[in-house]
Amino acid sequence: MFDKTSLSPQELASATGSLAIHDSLALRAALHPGKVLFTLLDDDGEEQQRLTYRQLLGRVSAIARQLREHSQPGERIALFFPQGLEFIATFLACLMAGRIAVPVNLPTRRRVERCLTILDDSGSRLLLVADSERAALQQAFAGSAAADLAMLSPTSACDDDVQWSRPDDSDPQRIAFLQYTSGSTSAPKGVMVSHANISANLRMMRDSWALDHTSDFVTWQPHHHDMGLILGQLLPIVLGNHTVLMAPSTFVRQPLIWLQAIARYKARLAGGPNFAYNLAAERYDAQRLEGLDLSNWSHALNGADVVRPASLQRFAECYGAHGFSANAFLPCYGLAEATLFVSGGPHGQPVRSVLADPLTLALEQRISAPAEPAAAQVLVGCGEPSWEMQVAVVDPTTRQRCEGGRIGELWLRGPTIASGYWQNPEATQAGFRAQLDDGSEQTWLRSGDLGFVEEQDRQVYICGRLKDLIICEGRNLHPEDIEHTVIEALKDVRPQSCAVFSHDNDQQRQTIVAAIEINREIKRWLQDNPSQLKAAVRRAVVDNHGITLNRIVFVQPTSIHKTTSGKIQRGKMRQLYLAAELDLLNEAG
Amino acid sequence: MSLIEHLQIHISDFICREADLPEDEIDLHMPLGALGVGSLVGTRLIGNLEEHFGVRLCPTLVFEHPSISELAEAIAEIASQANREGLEHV
Repeated sequence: MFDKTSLSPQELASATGSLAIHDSLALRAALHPGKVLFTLLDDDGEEQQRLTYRQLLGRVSAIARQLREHSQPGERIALFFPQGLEFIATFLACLMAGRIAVPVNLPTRRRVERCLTILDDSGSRLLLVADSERAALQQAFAGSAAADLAMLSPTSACDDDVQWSRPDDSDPQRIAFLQYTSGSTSAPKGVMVSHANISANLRMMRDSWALDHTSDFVTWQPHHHDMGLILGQLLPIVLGNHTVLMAPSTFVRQPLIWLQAIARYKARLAGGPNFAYNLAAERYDAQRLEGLDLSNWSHALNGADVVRPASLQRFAECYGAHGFSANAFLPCYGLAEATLFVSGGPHGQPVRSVLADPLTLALEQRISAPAEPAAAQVLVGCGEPSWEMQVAVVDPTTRQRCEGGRIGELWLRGPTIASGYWQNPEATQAGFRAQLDDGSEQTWLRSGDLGFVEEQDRQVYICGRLKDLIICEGRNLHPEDIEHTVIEALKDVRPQSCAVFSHDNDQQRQTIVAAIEINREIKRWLQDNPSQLKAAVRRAVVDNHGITLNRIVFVQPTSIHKTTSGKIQRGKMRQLYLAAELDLLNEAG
Repeated sequence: MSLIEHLQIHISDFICREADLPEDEIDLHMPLGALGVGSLVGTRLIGNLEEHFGVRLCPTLVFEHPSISELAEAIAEIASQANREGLEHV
């Protein structure tokens, strides 16, 4: 290894914390070739496939050779795979061959448009696809610009004679992959994540959470999601651990399979967005889970969505009897523009929280002691930032740092901030090159998240979004996309305007509301058959965005508030709706 | 109460609760999509029914039998078939 006979644990940690991820894999494949890296579980939680460090490297090497034959360096390669072990081999092959990987969620009826805009925006000309998906993809893309793109299945070959060699000195700042999580459907934005960004982010997670090769994972997050990819499938390589993978649909159908896998494999780290804990608590079954031992689970991650204290409490109550410790909860904060991880931990300590007065929070963007303790809003601390990350709380209009207790936009600086959005200099300038009004030349990433860093516990607290983004089950949805869908669904009756917003109900659950402005035609429809209009709207929204519109209300003409430039004021609409001050049409009338 | 009625109530309650819909907007004969049930809620519903009624169901069932009443009928059929086969094995 390098020019040495062996590496000390410290050398190995610094090497894997700075090498490109495929080079870390090669290093580990040389050090412990026969160790199992990934185990894939099927729908029933049974072992379906295993891959050792050496086998994965062999697959990566063979696919990289294939890629060199079929594409040019720097070319974007779109990846279409179901959850499984073929994806990670193909992804790493792109990185090894110097191609730019573009992981895309498989198109269903509703996602075809998004796939097409991603293919177009990234300029991908070659699609690497799982054999099982080829026919469905061809059908989905038929008649579109993507129909002519070349489709290739990764070779099933595995090079078993890959020799260790010192990594070449390719520029660590070159782009490794594009992460499309931002941007509305019509204008997707691909975050340009470099090799150096990935290494730094993996190192930050490893060190913030004190993980090592004995920290085994169980993960079900999809690989087209930054948490599923970076944390679920790349961090294991840096750690040298064993990671057990299952499909998201297996988890959603039978959450107990996830918990049983955590127990069976004595996993230390597992988690997901907040809703994962709700599903697992809901399905609790004392009889079926008799003997389940969760006492090894030391890092119960909770990220990518709002962390709800009630969810944590309910889960801990159910699973405390199975050795689960509430100190294992590890709320964290991150975003694709910062590769993934920003803050989380220290682990093994009680979750931090702050009680805030809801009115001061909403009206003055300030944290103050609650006027009535019963009405206090509980905010959960999303961990301390990595030592490599700077977090500033900024008033975005004055670009000055906020005074203690005031909420502002979180601005970030550090080695994991991506270089910008693919071929989008305007959005890159606005999002990645912000400068404080202090004369300094330093540039910051604008996260778009509102929050503060508490002075005593140094935890990052998130209070909302600067824009009206709706976060649902860990996915970011743009209200303007949903409003567009609603208007389209009702185009026969020509609604003037629609506002979509969300609020938390009294059970700490999110309710998504659409307020639709009526006209004479809608009024007539509503009198004859109110359920038909709502059905059409709900169907279109679930088909296009995968979410349930919980409440649909019809409001009098011109009661949707807009700015002078015609932008819908969703915050104002939410406020009026909650105060029951919206001029609603009486449906029964 | 017949098994079908029991299933209808169970499915309606689940959708009302999990999709957070007003009770009076649940219609047994309406397609589930029109109730805002997508793949996430649909998959959870299948898992819940498997657990509650002790049957193994295919996740595509929600799309093949797209209303509460049709779904209830299909599952009642699967359950009684499983029951018969179970008896034969005895």
